[in-house]
Amino acid sequence: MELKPIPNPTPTDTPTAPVYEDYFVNMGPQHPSTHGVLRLVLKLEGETVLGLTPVLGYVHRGIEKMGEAMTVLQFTHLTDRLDYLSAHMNNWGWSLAVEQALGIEVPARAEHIRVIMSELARISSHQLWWGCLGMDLGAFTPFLYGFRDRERVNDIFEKTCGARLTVNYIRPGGVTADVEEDFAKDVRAFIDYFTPVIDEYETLVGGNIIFQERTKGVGVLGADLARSLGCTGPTLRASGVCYDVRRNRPYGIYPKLDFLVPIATEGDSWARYKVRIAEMRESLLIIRQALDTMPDGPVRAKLPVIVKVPAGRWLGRVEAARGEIGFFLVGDGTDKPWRVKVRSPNFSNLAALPEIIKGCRVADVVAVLSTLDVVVPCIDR
Amino acid sequence: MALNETDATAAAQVAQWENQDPQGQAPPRGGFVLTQIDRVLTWARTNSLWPLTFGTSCCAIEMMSVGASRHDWSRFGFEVARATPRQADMIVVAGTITFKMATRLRLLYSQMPDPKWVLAMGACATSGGPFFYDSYSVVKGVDRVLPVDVYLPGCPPRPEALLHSLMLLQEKIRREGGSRRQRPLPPFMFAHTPIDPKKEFNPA
Amino acid sequence: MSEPTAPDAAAVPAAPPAATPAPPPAPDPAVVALREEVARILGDTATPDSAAGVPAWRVDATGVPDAARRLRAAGFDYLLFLTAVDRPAEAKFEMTYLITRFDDGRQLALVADLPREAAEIDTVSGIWAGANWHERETFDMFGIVFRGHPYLRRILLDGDWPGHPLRKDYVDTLHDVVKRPY
Repeated sequence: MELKPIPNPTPTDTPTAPVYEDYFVNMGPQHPSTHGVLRLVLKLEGETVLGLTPVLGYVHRGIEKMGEAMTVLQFTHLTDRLDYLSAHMNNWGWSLAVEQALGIEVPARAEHIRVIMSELARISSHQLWWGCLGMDLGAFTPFLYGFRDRERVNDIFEKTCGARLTVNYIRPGGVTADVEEDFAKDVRAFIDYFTPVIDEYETLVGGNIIFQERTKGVGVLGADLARSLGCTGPTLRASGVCYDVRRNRPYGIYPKLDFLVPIATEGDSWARYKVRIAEMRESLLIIRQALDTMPDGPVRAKLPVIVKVPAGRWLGRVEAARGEIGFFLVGDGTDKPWRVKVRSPNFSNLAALPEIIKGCRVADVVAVLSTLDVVVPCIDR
Repeated sequence: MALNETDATAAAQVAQWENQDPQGQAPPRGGFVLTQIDRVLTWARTNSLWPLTFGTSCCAIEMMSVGASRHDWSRFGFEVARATPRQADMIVVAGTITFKMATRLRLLYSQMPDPKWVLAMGACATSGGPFFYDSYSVVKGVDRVLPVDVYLPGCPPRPEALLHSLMLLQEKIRREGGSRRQRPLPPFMFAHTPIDPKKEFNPA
Repeated sequence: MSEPTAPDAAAVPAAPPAATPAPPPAPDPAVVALREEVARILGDTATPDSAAGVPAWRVDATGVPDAARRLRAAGFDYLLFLTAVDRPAEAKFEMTYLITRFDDGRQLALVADLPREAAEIDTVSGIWAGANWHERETFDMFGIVFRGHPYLRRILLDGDWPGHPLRKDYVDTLHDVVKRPY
């Protein structure tokens, strides 16, 4: 919808006329809808947003500096805490970087387990996104449904990885421990439960006319701007760019798996919503294929006792739930890295927000931020 | 991060912190009627503690899980999680507190009406957690910023652990009495830089 | 990995002959093709860097925007990140630009050296819009000034934070940093 600010009818050239100046409002850092501690400075004219500036750094923990003081195997537990909703993918990205540096080959069973865990984490993360999207737009029920499904995935994680959220399960060389005997039964039960439920959720929220009015045409991100900013993940794919790290730069056993990458072309919040719902369906297909073809064998390659990173530049890139996360490791021959740089998907995705929100209303800021799906500790590192 | 300019205010804060009563808050004196009224008020307060929605990082997800349907904290009275500190009874500090956020957190705490309580959830809020070593921007425990009542370790703590800590807080309130004196703020050496949105707006 | 088997006396190999060094492993053909293509794009402004890992090219600090423009025009439209690596032993910062493509994901690193005192370089935020925030972060963490940047201010730390934390000689006296004892 095209919104034009209403011109002020009061004459401003008389000596007693009030002076009009720009109106700035702070949204955050403590706010129920900013998905973490993010502060947005809005320049408003009435309800129309003329400009927006994100202020970051409220949860900047210095993870990159800490990486220079610990070994590569000690650093994996910090990678969980970046974008904690896709903890498995973060661990995988770091493990890829270390495995490239050391030239380790990961056993096949570990590769299959990695894919299953990552796709379960993707579904769990999208369910939280969906729940919080409903809650931000005023509906509390999706929040409860989303967390109900998250709890089922957390039960599977807890049995195998030992933790629900910050798992630290995928490590350089493979995975930490083999799966339990009823892992396959649990995962298949989850797939059977979740497949019809996605359709129900799509009608519940997506079929709601109020939701459609609030998201169609709101916050349109063009493909050129998205490419130039380095946006990735569902944010980019909803703008029509076919880029998924699992397809364009595959890793693990993804070349052998048969799945589609959902794309939309409009680039508005509705498109981002549809892309994420479709991604959840594709993740179920991936999990089923990986589970059906899982071989037996060891789950972790043998690493040397003291892991020394050779001199050079190594980069591990994976598709996290929100986009492409990259771990850049510069080694110098000792057991501690010389430099660790985390390429955060949310950092680049949030950079799109100031451009796409111009002309929208204040209530749309919440809708657009929700569909951009940012997790602030990943931005701030 | 501007340091507190005057040594006098910093010294006063330190003195107040060190001279506080180590046994906690004594129950109010009064006859039978007043103590019974106090018991009723305490019962009402413990069973209806409304938390402020404050979550910085991973512990916030477990706090949201406690608010969801499997482990439901509204059974215990934490029904309404308010977004504004003016209407909240307690604050669950879930997540890492950095120096940049700490001054804003003190402002939030001072905006809460008395009586108010603080629960430090997670290892980061208890002591700095996994970021204790080598991090330059993490406050090593929220008890350097706010007076904490209950500490909950874990990274992140299980939802059942959070429920247990909430029950411990309720027991503490029953023991101390619901109406209490203010607890002094710990001395925190960084002043609050006022937030002026016009200065932070990037016209580019 | 396979379980260790007990050494079989009959299968113990004879002592190896005097060493002829094994031939180096054959280079990956994709990397070779990438090196040829980038050499064609950048010409002699860039020299290939021989460090292991991501294929890297070294350019002069003044030639970075030009090299970036040429790569962008040749289809490398995705700036993954840009950052700096502090090398105090050689008194330099290594500015690293990780440039890749959206269509097939081939990646390369563009490396430029900056002196540690008065580190300045031209901005590339006109070529990739994402560089805007990455350069602000590099300025925040290292103190490198990007000439021509529209809004060069700290992005992650408070505006009056003393020093630049990711430098190797950063010493923090205010914020109670505890060093790891093990």
